[in-house]
Amino acid sequence: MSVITVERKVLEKNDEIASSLRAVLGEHKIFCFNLVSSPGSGKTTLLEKTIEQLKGKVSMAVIEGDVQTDLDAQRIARLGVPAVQIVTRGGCHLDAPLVRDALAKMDIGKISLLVIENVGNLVCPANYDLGEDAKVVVISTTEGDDKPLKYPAMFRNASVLVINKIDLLPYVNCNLGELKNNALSINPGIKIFETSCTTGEGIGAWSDWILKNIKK
Amino acid sequence: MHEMSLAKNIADLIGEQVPAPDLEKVRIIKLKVGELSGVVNESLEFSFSVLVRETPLRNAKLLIENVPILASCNQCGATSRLEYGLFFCGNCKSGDIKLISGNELHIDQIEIDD
Repeated sequence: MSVITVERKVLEKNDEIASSLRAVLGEHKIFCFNLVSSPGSGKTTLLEKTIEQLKGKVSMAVIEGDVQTDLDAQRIARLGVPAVQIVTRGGCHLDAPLVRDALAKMDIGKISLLVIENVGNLVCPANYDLGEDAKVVVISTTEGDDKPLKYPAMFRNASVLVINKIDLLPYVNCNLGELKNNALSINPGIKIFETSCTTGEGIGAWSDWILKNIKK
Repeated sequence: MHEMSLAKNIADLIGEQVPAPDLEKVRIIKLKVGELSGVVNESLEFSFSVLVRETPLRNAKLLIENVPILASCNQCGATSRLEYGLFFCGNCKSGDIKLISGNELHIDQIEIDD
């Protein structure tokens, strides 16, 4: 029996492609965030409200990831923002090669913001680098305040947390303070925004964060 | 999570590393899998065994070494082992820590019949 030392990362191909994506986005001065959450937290609605808020201030494009249908890309395109849909047909996450292929269909010379809306899933997308500058995790108040404790890897790897549907707080069993404490116990550096896409509360502060990160 | 696609990545990497005629001599593939990598050992082993069943790698088995989550504390300097999902220093309970290990997911070694 002979032993061969390999020492290669199982996800090395993904990570290599993610690094080259990051370099390309950097060259074009494009700020990119990867929007992750469980299904139904309101990622696409948040994106729609954000687009309205950023209209005329920043030129952007969106990559939509879903298991099936291009419904989300249609919603974004209706607002006049270029959107490419990735349909994973069962795949539980986006990976860097999928994002590279989607990016090839875009005119990235014209944008300064790229949003990647990942497949709704709080597990798998945590481990796949897509070349983004930041992972933004969205949680809605209907999901309960213990979510960060149940899905620690995702909350650890994200740099921003958006707590969505705060208008529903009076009706759901979710303690906002507890939710924030739980997220901060997993990731003390995580930046937190509170939003409601129904009332518009907090959309301004969240959008300002994006504008602040646009590369000059 | 998505162990079948990881199994496929592993088989592809071994295919790059080992000359084709030797693939059926591969017996053991040693993996280092961090506790934060999200991998379920049994699921990865099962996925790999199904994937390679009728391929030159059919004689290979995964041998998984789990790597604990270790962190060093920026406050008290202690190094401690963390429970999955509890990100604070085991000594002083500070959350101001730096992870040393636990995210690993790599192929360490392979053993081949001579």
